[in-house]
Amino acid sequence: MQNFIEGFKRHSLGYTLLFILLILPIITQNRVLLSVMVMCVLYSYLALSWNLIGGYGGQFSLAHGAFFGLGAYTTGILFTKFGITPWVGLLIGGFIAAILGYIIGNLTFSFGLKGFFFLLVTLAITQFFMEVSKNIDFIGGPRGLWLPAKIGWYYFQFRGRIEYYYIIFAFMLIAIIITYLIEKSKLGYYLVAIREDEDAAEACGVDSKKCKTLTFALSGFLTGIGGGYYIQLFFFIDPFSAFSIHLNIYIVLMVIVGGTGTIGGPIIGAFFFVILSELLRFIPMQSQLLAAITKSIFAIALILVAIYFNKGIISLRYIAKYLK
Amino acid sequence: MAILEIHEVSKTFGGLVAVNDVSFSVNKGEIFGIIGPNGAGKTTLFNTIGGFYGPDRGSIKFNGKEISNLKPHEVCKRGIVRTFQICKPFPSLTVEENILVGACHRNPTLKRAKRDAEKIIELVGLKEKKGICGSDLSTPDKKLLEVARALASRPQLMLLDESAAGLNSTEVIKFMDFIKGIAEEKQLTILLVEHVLQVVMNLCERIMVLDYGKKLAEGSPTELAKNPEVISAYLGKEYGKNA
Repeated sequence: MQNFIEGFKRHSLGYTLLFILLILPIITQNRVLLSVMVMCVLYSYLALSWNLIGGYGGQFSLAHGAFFGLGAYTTGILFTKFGITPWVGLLIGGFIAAILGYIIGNLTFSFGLKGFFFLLVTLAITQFFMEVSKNIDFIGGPRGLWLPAKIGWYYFQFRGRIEYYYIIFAFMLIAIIITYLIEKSKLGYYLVAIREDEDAAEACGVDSKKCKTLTFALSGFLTGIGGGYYIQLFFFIDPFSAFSIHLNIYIVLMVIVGGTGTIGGPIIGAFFFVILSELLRFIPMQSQLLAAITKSIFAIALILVAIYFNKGIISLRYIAKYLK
Repeated sequence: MAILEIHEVSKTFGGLVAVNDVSFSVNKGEIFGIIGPNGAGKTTLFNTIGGFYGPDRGSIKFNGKEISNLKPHEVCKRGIVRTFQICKPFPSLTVEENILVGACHRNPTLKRAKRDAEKIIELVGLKEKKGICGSDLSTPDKKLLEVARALASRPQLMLLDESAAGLNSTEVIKFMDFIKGIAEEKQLTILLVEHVLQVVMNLCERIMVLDYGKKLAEGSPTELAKNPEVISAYLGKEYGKNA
């Protein structure tokens, strides 16, 4: 009990923000704000999922576009062609993504593919799925897949944003808990050791291939579920939005700017980027220069983070403590 | 009783034969040194024993069982642990957490691994520094941490790769006593690669000399000090002639 109270005090800001997020739909009925919040939480969830292998594990994966798309298409196909409820479709999509993650992990990590080469191989995999899915008519080809509108919990489709919000909020909580459990477990220490010095980790008895593959599969599983949620949110998916390298990179940026290898970092990064991009829409485009600068805000943010706080925005928390 | 048997091990990289038909054995409980000029193949030999490379030819037996086909973490689990020439602490983990990583695979739960790590921190004398991050340690402390992390894996055989490098003469003596103490207390066999002859001559019971990947000589420190081939390899042929 004592530990719980101490932990609560240490992370009181985080708990407070979570609480605010929890009661948000009760405080405000603004549909636009709620839509933005749904996107914030969705990206937080996706960022947290990538962070497991990318942040803690240090393996920069661009295969998460593949995981995302597999989850989206699986959920969509199982429902439109077989009538299976998306709740089950989500899980199956997640498992298929996990299997892909396991296979890629075994192949790449057996050959000791690291760093840049790992990044290239994972990029190729996402690209592969995009190209292939363009040519499969069963799943809609380049025109994509539309969900028939059927409102209800069984169909995982809702008119308003409140249900969507609480569902993705619950997913994000699960991702937070999983991250926390891993961070405090043997696997968490192994991942950090592998990230910092794989040879030294191996010399200490850490089976780096097993750890990386397992985490990669888990990360894929969660991301696949995220993809399934996405298709239910937008009623539509196509090869470009499903197997999107752009989305993958966007998520990576969120984690880096927010802070890799932490729980708060991915969430901060996601909120930062989504809110920023929403605010940018309201800037009057009178001055072309101003417009250009604001559009490049993401690049500027990344450069600032890289130069001044490469541990991410979350590292400001330590500076605050230090200044006290 | 031989704990490690190296039999006709060779390792080639492209055209370079780094280790050439080397055979020797290390007895349980002894401190065995490997010396030789730079480029003699000492670190390659260590990497091969440790599982980072597989030998192109030959066999490596530990406690009678072949280990040449094992990966580094498997070699570690069998009871051989290796430190690195250039210290490799995990930079963003604390001293305590560094040692914990080594202790994890020997303990079923994280809690017990933490207890193990605590004991080793005490043994090694890093208690006041246990909260310091790996990247902020001084060089002698980094070396202590390397050894501590290795000890956490509960090895039977420890491979020390130029552990005394970069230490001044006082620190070398302290380090030597420390290694000797640890070896006795934990009943370790130690195989060390060294350039600092003070360490080799005073600590090792038996020594092997490598030169250009080949075994040049093997024997006690005093025997080797008189061996003309060893002297020429180290100091040049003129000195060897006069021995």
